[in-house]
Amino acid sequence: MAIDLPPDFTLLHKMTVHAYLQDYRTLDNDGWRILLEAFDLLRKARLVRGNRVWTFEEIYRHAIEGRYATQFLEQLLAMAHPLHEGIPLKAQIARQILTDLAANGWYDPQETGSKYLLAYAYYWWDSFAKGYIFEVSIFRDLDAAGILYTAHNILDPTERLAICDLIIEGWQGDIKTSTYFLHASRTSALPHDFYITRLFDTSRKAWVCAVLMRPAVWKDLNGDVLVADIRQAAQFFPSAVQIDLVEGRFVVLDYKVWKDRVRALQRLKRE
Amino acid sequence: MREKTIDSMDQKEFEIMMDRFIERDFEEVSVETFFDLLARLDEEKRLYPLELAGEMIDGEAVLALPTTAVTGITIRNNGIVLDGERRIIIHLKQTESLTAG
Repeated sequence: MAIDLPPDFTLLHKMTVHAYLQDYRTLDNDGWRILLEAFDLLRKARLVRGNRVWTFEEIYRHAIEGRYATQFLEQLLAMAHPLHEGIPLKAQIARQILTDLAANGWYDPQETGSKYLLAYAYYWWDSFAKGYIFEVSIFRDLDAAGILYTAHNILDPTERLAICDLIIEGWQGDIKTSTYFLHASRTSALPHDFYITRLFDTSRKAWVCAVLMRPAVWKDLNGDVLVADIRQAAQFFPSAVQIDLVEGRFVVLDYKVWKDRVRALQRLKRE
Repeated sequence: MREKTIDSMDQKEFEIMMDRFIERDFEEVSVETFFDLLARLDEEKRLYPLELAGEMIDGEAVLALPTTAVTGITIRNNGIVLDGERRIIIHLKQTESLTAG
């Protein structure tokens, strides 16, 4: 068995992957940028055995997500507190990954590249699991707030790939962890009307959910904005701040404020 | 400084590190890092070529952007408006094909 890493996967990518796996808090902004690039580059790394060739992405889709996604999501949906209970379940399933890779002849401790396959598999499983833990927790929160929405069925593998995660008032939205959102942003367009994500507020030392939305959505919610360059936007957040990206204009603000406005709009429409 | 990578790690040490990794909780980026990365990715994207798709309708090119909203560029039929000012209008000439007769 041999593993070929992509030629553009450099020593810097390798060092950053190592630093991240050891302790993500050691990464500076440039480190995060390189990390996102590294795990996207590894998608096309190849495992060659005899005359068969698999990319890391194919192995992950087939042996990990294809095998474990639905059972993970079924258990996640049955949980009272997915945000807390989902993490141990994610780890429990991840422990099967090494065994499965080895059983399929895809993991050989003598082959250095195997470490990158395991790192790749763990990283994307972690990303997948945390993404859905966050998504389910947002659905629960919207339910508790009495907000009406239509969501895709995450237990259906086809619907998991649906064009958007949820629709509220005709707006198409996606729910993504911050790193997953940044992966999506670097490799594809941002076609939806709104995105819900989760960030760490260093000044308050607390997690904060944020919404990025098209100005038309914010206009429907009667919101005001401050206009800022993206690099200054962090100074104004969690207040509503308008930024320009190559995909167009977005308003970013605190999720709770957005949720209250959506609830108020829906109440007004029902009256 | 020695460049530390997972290549050089002892197998046992590597597997212990990975075992700790899979137990990790949410590790979202900070608000500052998020906007900084968004800005960096945006700058990278602005360097990519923007591909327009088009088709010929009634002898004129009708162009379309790959996504519904791109800052600074508006497409109207065969026209491209840059930053709301500079206009590029595309007129394609119909060439008569010579057929052997």
